[in-house]
Amino acid sequence: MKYILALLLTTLTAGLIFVLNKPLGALPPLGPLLSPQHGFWQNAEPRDQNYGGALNLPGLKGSVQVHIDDRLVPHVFAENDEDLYYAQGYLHARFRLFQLDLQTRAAEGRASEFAGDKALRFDREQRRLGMRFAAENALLEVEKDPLSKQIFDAYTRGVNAYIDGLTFADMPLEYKLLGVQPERWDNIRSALLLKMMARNLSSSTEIDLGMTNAKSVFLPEELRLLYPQVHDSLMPIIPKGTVFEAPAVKPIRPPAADSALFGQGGLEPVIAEEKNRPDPNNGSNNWVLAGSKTKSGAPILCNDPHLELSLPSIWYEMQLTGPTSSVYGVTLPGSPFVIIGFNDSIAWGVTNSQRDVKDYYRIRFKDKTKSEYWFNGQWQKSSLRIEAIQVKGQGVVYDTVAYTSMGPVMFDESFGDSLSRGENLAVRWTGHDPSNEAKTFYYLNRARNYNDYESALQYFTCPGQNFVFASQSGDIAIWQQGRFPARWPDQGLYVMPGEDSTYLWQGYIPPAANPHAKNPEQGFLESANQRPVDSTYPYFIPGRFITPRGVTIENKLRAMQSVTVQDVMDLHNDYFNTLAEDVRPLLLSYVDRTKLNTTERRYLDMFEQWDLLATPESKGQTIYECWFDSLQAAIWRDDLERVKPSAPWPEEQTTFEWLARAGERMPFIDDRNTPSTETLSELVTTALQKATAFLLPYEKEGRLNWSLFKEPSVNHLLRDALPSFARKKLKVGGNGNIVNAITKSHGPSWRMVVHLTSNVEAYGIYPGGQSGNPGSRFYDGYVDTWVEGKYNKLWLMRRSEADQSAWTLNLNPTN
Amino acid sequence: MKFWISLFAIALTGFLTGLYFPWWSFAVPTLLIGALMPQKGAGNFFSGFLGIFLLWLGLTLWIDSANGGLLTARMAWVLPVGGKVIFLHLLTALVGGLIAGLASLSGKYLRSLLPKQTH
Repeated sequence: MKYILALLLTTLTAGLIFVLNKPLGALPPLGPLLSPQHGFWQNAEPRDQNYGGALNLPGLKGSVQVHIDDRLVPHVFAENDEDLYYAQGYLHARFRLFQLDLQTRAAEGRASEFAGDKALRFDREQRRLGMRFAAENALLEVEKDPLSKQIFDAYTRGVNAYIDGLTFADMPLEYKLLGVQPERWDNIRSALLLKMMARNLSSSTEIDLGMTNAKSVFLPEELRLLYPQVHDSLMPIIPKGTVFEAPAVKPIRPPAADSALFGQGGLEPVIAEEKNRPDPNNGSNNWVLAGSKTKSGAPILCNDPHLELSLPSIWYEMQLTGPTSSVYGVTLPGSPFVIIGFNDSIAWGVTNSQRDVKDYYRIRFKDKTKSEYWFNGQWQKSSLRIEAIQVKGQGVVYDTVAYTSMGPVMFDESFGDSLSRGENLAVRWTGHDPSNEAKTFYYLNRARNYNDYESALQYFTCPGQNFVFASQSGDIAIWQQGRFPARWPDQGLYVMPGEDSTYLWQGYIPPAANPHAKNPEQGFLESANQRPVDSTYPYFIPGRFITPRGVTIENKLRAMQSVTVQDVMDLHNDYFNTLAEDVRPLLLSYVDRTKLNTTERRYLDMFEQWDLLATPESKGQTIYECWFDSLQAAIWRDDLERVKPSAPWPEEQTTFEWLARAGERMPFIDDRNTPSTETLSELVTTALQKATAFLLPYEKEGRLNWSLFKEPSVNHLLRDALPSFARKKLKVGGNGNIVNAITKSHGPSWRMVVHLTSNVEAYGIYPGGQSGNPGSRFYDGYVDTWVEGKYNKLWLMRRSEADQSAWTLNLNPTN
Repeated sequence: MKFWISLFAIALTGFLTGLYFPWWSFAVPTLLIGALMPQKGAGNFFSGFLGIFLLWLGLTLWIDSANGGLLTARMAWVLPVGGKVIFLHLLTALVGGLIAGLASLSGKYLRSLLPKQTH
């Protein structure tokens, strides 16, 4: 009996330990997670945690002082550049390890290692787009350049020094929750991170597949009106009236292009589609004022990149001071350098160019092996890349991607829509081309004047960015920088034939011809993802441009004089809805009041009396959005649903401008699904009735206020998996078309104002916190400040001021 | 007296092993202490259970208060405790206590298998 009892109890004890050491259904392994000395409790940082101290780390050359201020911003002082970037890597890992690891694994198409098979489609798409291929090409460039290689190596050593010293108890909470292990860093992962930025910013700037589908229903001249290149109200980045030189590269339109793109052969719709397209609102604002426009007489530079808002934030604030530079700004965990920032002489900021740098070619393979494809009259060898995707809890899934001279065949019969008929589409993307964008940041971090800035930009290929610049010496400038194909008109708007080299890109726009402006007479420059130039620019430059924010900013800046820092902060947080200002008179003139009931009339009154500001409290903004959305649907749905599988929706700006131009004569007003002929007045009136019916339940819940209706959130990186790690229902207004471009979970990811006085004065804020640890008081501390539209003062610390820091962390080499 | 001595010894060795070894390592000294100090009835179970239950509860309360309750407020929605922070503490202490109680009891019965004269 006692034998049985002893055996039973011992087995029960061991069994309990065994079970608690394993995941239980959706729950993570509970034993290691709950243990107070190992599990999540160890991630609960004491509020009075000391971030200082001294560490001996392998691979350092000298000693590095990290003075950490009371916002947990590290001010790094190093004796040489290698140690500077080593320390940056170490600190990124110390405060953002899970983010570093997740983002770069996801970039490579390895999200399934964390998330299981629900990420498989995403992973396959990343791999089929050739993300690893792109990063390998970039890394070759980096390693060719001794300076870049040295810095990337140092950064990698820094990240790994932190990872190697980790115990289970120190590990970021997310690893404990997911039951995965951190992976050591490697230079390619920094390259992958930069390629992920390239994908996010230059991958949804084309709608080639949807446009190709649209061709099956719409005529070429209709397509030009549905998806116009230049909006009527465009205020371009480069001031209107700027004279452009004649094109140095004149691409030749293939004689058969018209029939190939628009003729019988081109009518086939494309079934393939990307499922994980980056948010089309990945835009940004930046502007710069010359001394002639400011109260102080010194330039003021502003930037707010609009990206997915997440906790931890995509940005991490830092000061990097070495022998050749002292720079402050935001960094991207996973990459060396400051990406947006300033030093004691200059400041710079970026917005997305929205230019189309990605095209598709239809490939004809000889057979199912995809090892040969027809090109220029003969069978060419393709190379096959075998992708092995580790899926958490399920082993390895294989995928084969064929690479042609145009690029990887992203879509084929194994990857596309469920209706796929085996269309093979190769993707040509400038992100695949060898480039070393990091070098631009290396030199910008060290720039002293306009010439340094201009020469730093030459290394930047993809994604195309608008680099705004100001110097203490008084120069202001903007360059739209990137490598852009020189296209013949219509080239790259639709899937192109891939059997013939005449359809390939014939060259690139010379860098000197990229849109740019320096010290314009008007005393300011701005960019907000609009088309960079008016229609006199001598190249065909398609893209997904956003017009309204640029109009608002341009109008506001033009009207401002004696501008102060507070004025530009107010502009960052501006809620004025420029498009609604244009649309309102149109809606009011077509709505038929006699057809409205009391509630609908009440909604109309609210809209009519609206101050056109998309404030959190605004009810007019909510009604406007729903009304105009409903009108767009009434105009387009019946026409667009004829396109199989789907076509892109025309932009709000396009719809408005067309209605403003043509009124009742706008050709898509009639609903083809009804026997009667609808008028614009009927559509506008019905749209208001529908919007009212939709919004009434919200109003009853007290949620007609714009922020309560929209419920803006900053989610944790793992989104719905960890809702309690998010900040939800934030009291902020704005929208994608508004300067303060906050949508549901997207918006100004960093607001920066730099006043280039003799002692540079700077302010910044991002909706997050310096620590990625949800158990730290620095996890989300800036969110409330950001919601209020306030800023932190940015402190470019001098060595002599180091005693004012809250903590000092000394990093010393191991002997 | 034996009860309190073993309870204290289990808590102390549990804390020390936790500093250096995996999360379940307290089970080993707990089992040994159970074997060295056999008690009547359920005494072994409860000295083990309470030793670790109280140790872990003390640790979690201390950590939580130093943290100002920031993380437990978030974790109480991740683990199935319906947002109740106190259950997070109790669940943690219960898991440790249960293993320790069983380990201590296992120790007592394993000892009884040994030949009497070796004592």
